[in-house]
Amino acid sequence: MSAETVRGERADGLRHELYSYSGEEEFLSGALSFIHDALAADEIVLVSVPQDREQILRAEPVGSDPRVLFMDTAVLGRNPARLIPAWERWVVEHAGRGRGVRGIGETGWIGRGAAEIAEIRYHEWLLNLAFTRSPAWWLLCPYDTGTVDPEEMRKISRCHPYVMESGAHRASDAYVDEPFAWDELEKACDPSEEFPYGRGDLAAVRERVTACAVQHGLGGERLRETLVAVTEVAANSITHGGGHGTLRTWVRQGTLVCEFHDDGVIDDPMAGRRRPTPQLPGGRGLWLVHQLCDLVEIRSTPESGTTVRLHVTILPPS
Amino acid sequence: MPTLDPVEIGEHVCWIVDPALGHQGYKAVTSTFLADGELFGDKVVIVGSLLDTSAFTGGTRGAVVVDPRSAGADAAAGIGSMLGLVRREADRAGRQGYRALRVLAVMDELVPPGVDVDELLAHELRLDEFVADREAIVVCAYGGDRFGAALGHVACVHHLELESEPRRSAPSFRMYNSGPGVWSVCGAVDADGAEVFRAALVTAAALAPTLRLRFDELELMDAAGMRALVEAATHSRVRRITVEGANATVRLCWEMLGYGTYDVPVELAR
Repeated sequence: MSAETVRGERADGLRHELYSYSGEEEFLSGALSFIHDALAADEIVLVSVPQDREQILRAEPVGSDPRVLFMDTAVLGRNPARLIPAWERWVVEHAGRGRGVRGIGETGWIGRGAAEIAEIRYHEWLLNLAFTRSPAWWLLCPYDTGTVDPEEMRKISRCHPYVMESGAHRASDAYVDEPFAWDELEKACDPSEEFPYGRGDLAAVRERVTACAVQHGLGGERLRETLVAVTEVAANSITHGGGHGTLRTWVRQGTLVCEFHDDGVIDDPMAGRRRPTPQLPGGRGLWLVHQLCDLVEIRSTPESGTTVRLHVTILPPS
Repeated sequence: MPTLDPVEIGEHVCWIVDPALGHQGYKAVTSTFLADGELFGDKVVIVGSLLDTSAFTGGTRGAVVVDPRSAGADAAAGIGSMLGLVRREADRAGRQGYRALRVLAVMDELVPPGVDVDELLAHELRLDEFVADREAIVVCAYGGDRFGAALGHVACVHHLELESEPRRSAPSFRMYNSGPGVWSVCGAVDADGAEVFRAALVTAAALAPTLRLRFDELELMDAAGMRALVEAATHSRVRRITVEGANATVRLCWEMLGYGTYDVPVELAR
């Protein structure tokens, strides 16, 4: 299918397309076909892929085409919640120049834990909501079936309205427009130690987190960043979550986890994933939390209230 | 029971007096304050009649005792007149050869019930400027049961807070004068203290044409604190606030929130 034909079918917003491949060769073949179609239509291609994938694309002739831009994803870190605002910024920057925009976005999969994988899947689901009013653009999401669990792959397929197979683009049979189905949170460690907090207790919350963090070797700027994040979440409980909440902290596999629970409900699925502007009165706290933490898990329902887990990797001492 | 022993020249202290101790609470601490004045060669001024100074060991030791009620002044004048009084006494103390001026102000008597918190804040900030500028110690004694939430506001604009039991709800920052138009902020400015911080900045902005903040001792500032800083700069007379000495985390959060990119009237200098 030619790029022109597909472009003609596109409405405003995102065309969100899954590309399941197996191995480097198939990745290259699919990605190059997508890029060639884009360049034939004089579109810009933004590429955000793991470093090894980037290297093989850069080695191809299209890798030096000025219309193919490799995005620096290292600055985004591991938290998938930072991807949508990054794509938003890139697309607005480049779509504003009058050219069509395409993206290739692959998230590094190896070494990810269950919590991170669930958040990547949520990110894929949110993409369909996040760009409904954006300029038209087309995102290809390559997934290596050799590294992704088949059941997880099935779930990810349900989040992609379009699919690319053998160089052809079509609507996906697997896509389901449905509410996001969360997995249960992993069991907490040391669940008996709960710290209740309310108005005026933000300093006490920080003391509690500091005690746990320092005991496991987290200090300096990373600790200060963590303390800003925990302050924001606890303050949200006090302001929006019924005036109080509970905190638990633990360390598992080299990661500090701070869990907050309160009676409030976060009903905006995009909470904390929109870049705030100084003019807006609110919306900064969760944004900052997503920017500062390596992973943020949020579960919120009217029945059970809101649980927020902040994950901060404790780096080994250098 | 707290002690005023660690108080040094150049410090402006908020002493929150435990209401359970009544006058005994004042008496015990004040005795040592007077004795230290004599020991170090300071001129002591006590503003307030609550203190039965004759009961102190060694009497008043030459302290000047001023009863704000005897002057018949109204409430606002009571606060305002205190600043004039300490300035005059500081001048005299210098001429009389004292090392410094040592002031204990019983704020329960100076401040009428229901006083405007911003007015009280302005008074304390002016006192702080005075202390930073002169060889002086000023201790403001507040009855812990009289001022409610206002106590949190005023305690933040002293170098030091003395009390029997730490208050859980107290804001986690302090702001004090460190030169003409320069204010140092230390601790943590978070959602619990953001409103107090905004009020303190707006009040400080009314005292000088420019406002510089030193953040060298500020550990962290959350989104609410940064919003308060921007709002204070936007809605105060100075129209622009310069921040110096902020740590890497404060600068990082400032950029993450977009304040470094958007046109806001706050400059975060390196």
